[in-house]
Amino acid sequence: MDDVLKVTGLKKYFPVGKNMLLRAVDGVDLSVRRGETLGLVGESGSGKSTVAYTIVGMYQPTAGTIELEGKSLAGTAVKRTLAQKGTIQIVFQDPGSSLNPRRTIAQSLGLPLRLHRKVSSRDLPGKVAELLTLVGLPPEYKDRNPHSVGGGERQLVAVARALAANPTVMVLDEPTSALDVSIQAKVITRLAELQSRLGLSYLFITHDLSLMRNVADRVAIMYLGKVSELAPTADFFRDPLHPYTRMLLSAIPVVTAAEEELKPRKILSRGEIPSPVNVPPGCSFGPRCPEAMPVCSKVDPEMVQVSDTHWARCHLHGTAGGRAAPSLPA
Amino acid sequence: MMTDDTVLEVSDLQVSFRVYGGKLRVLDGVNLRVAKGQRVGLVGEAGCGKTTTLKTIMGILPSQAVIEGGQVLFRGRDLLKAGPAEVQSFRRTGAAMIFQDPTAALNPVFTVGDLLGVGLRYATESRGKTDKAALDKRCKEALAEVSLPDPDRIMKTYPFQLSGGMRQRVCIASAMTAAREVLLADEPGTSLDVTIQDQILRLITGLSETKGLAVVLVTHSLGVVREVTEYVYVMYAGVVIEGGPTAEVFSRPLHPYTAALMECVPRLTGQGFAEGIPGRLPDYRNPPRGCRFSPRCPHSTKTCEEAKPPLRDAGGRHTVACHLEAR
Repeated sequence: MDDVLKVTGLKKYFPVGKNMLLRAVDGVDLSVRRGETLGLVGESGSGKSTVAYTIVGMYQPTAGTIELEGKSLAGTAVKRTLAQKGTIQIVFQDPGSSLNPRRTIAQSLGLPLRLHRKVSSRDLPGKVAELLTLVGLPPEYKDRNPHSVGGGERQLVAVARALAANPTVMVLDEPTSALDVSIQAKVITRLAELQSRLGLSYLFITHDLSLMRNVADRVAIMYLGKVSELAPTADFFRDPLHPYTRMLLSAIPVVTAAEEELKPRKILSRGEIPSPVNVPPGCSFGPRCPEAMPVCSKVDPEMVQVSDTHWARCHLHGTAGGRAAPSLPA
Repeated sequence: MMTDDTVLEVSDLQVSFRVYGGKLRVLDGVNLRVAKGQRVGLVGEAGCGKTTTLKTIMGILPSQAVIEGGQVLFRGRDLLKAGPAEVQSFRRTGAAMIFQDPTAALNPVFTVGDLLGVGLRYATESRGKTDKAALDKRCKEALAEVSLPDPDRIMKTYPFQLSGGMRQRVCIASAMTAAREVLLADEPGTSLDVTIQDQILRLITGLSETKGLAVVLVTHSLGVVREVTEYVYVMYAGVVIEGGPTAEVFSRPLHPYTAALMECVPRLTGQGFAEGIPGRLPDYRNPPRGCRFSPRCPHSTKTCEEAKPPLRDAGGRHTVACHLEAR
């Protein structure tokens, strides 16, 4: 398979207090294929943003490798080449804080254009206008400040800034969760257009499963620093295997009866995600799992390939049907 | 069609804010009615005046706010005209409010026990010497009611020692220490994860059913409204533009804004969604003269730009403020 980005055995621990470790990411294997959108879903504290930040080199991973186009990347951004940095770009959740309020939009877009695309000062205004048009904003916005445009448009400026570096992989960290639905729809539509026009690969991070259903080609779900299920979007929603996935799906508020039918039978959600400082023994979802077995509190399940494309980390699928797989999902 | 069990009614509420260089005319016609034990939703996008409406009801608007007109009737008495004693009594036993962000709502330097105790003493008007044991007992009962494990321990903890979901439960417990008739819930699950939100919403629904508590649930999430409420009001730019039984509004939205908003919600069926609603909220300094949605409405006519559409009956307890529906 043509993997643009491949993450293997990624771990990121943060020291907290005396001799304690916060295991934010605890062994994540993921790959993003060329031109696809891989959705990464999880609740707060599941480590999904830490995965994103580690991939773009904001954190030095504790263990594991990150490969871009088959070549291993240095842990932090400062040790990566300019081209590598340009190839992976990130869009943050809140454009209100990710864009410098004292710079005009042209200034925010100008720096990456000069740095990554070697655009000369003379050509800069034209390139800025081109970039704004590309993301569907009027070129006249170039002299505005970020706060003088609407929330959705501001996020599109952040997308334009990421595109200025000429990326092939975009890490989108909750790009629309700070926006209203009527605005979100516009940004998502634009992102989809850009993807097909520029052949981009997206790692799309969100906590919103309904949104994920509509944007992702494959979905990976994270719980407490680990990927608990990975499948093509249609399979993931038709036949969710992990009890955590089923609990999440049954908790989503939906707006139509047709969606209600797609939800698994009502599983009353209980408990909360445990602290990543004090991870429960065995399966980390065990204490909340309605189907927990004695083995679940003792042995942490391995990722198991249940069908050609469907993977789950659960003892329910460990022995029957599935076969244990030591390596990365293909 | 007024029935006697109406607990809280807001009619034609208008609220402005004095700002530098003018006035923000935010609320311009909010109408809602809640009956005993009923769960009513107030749904709208950011900046449409949902929280301002709740704050007006509680009488906790900031000092730059001006109430231009309208009524807030609690058991038939207009709270906007009532004296301070009556407003206090409304806050003591009439209504309680829970806020979107439980972290900001709980004072970090007091224990949960202190926070609940203060609220309970306020609600029961017990000044000076109080029976500490009885107070603690009632607070623990309230914590147990919201399914917090080990109330004895929780009483001694500080808010930062609890998770977001537990903090929101403490806020609900605080609203429940004294018997009240209305719960005003401002985005109670929005800052929480979906599984925790599910638990909080089930808790609120349960309290409403067992105690006959009327609930006004303010949210931006159409899904939450559909699952929790029986009746829903849709707000746009400070105006209640549609109201009706929840199932009815979801199956047959009458206002173009309601219909457009529903199309924007991503569906679990993966059928895709609309491209969004063009334009943005009007400038409250100078809102459109007629229908406030008219600049963004695909069906807008000259009438819409000039005259404010009145809220009219569309049959079956369904009301809508739109010139299109006046056929």
